[in-house]
Amino acid sequence: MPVRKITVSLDQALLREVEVQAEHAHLSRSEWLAQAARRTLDQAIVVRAMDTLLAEAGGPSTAAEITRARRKLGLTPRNRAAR
Amino acid sequence: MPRANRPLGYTLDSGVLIAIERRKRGVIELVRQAALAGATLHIPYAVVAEFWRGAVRKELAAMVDRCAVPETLERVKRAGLALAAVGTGPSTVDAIVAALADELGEIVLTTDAGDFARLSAYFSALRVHHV
Repeated sequence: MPVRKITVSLDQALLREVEVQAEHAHLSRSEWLAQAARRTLDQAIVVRAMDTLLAEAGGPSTAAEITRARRKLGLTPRNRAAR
Repeated sequence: MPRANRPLGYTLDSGVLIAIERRKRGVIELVRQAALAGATLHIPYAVVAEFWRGAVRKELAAMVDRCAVPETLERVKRAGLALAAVGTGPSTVDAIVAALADELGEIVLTTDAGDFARLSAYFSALRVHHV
């Protein structure tokens, strides 16, 4: 796919964070930002798809359903500390 | 990237996709929460082959398109070695799921934890969540 270059503006603190993360991942800043954009887009599409399917299956989840799902994933504070 | 520095991620098996297709609210919310948490979600091509039967909802199809990962020769060889090591039980697709999760340092989300428990004998660092 052809690559189209764009310019993004980052404040100093954010730029520094991007540089640290990119270096950590052995990527250029541009590569790291592109990967982050792709990941964010993928996640947004998955969330939207699940929202639609939930709506068809009776509506948004209850607080209890959300808590149960997060616990199963190990995303509750106690589980995160143990991971 | 060292395993400890990798972002949180999950590898999905066919049972998870089937549960979503059947509108199992708990599984749908699970995948939703994983995405909201910023986790990466991966589906091996072999799982797509096992799951895909044509009439797939466009929302689920969009998710598959975003998360599908092609197999590599090295990975399928490791899956074969795992099957040889653990004997009967897990399917070839299960072994490919385990090999991908092991390679990426991800957690397997499955509706059949038993087969993956057997595969853990080969992939010793494999982590599995039964949904």
